[in-house]
Amino acid sequence: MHASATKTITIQYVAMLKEQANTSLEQIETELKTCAELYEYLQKKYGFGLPLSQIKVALNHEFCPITQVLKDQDLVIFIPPVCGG
Amino acid sequence: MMQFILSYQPIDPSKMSRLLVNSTAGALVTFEGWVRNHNEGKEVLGLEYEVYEILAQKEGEKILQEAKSKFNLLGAVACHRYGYLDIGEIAVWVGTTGVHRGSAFAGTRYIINGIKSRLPIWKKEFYFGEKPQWILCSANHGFSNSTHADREQ
Repeated sequence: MHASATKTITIQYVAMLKEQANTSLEQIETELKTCAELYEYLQKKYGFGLPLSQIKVALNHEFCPITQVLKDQDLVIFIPPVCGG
Repeated sequence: MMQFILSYQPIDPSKMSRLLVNSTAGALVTFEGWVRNHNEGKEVLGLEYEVYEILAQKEGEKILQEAKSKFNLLGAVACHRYGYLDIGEIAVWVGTTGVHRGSAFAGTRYIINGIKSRLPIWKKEFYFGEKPQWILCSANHGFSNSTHADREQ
């Protein structure tokens, strides 16, 4: 893979994901292509219990499909099942 | 009047209602969600809500706007708490006004269902003698319209 495929991605963690990752924010250099691939990578790294099928994602503070392609400097927030009210 | 509020401070229902005062309205329908002392057989001491503020604010305003157009509401106000809440506190308040009661009932129901199924807010329950636990509302994450009675829990 070309060096140009490497992106800097910031991940902000919320709720149970924040507790499992034991951090609220991290920045990684990655060649992973989509949000889904990134979640699966982090799931292995931190042992997230929630399957990808239950996760939504926001890129740069907008909901987007989990299959969305990542760009350099994106801010990613994975959203576990919501539970307001 | 249309306003969506995320609040760390306790909700004052009379203050919320006053935001909706309108001499052309014939009905105000309000809903309050309270923190109850039990859930699924466990005694609950309190709750903590975590909110993804930027997105919750946008999504909350979107829900109110949808309700306003769909039911021809005169006004719509909703407020959701975050942080730690004790038993009996108001976790969420919704009020809508209409010329007649039908639109206000429908509007308030649409908004509370939207808040529960779409807002990026998470709830952690605290118990006697047990570790606190994040509540998984796994019925959620359709992010579709959730107005069915069987989901009104």
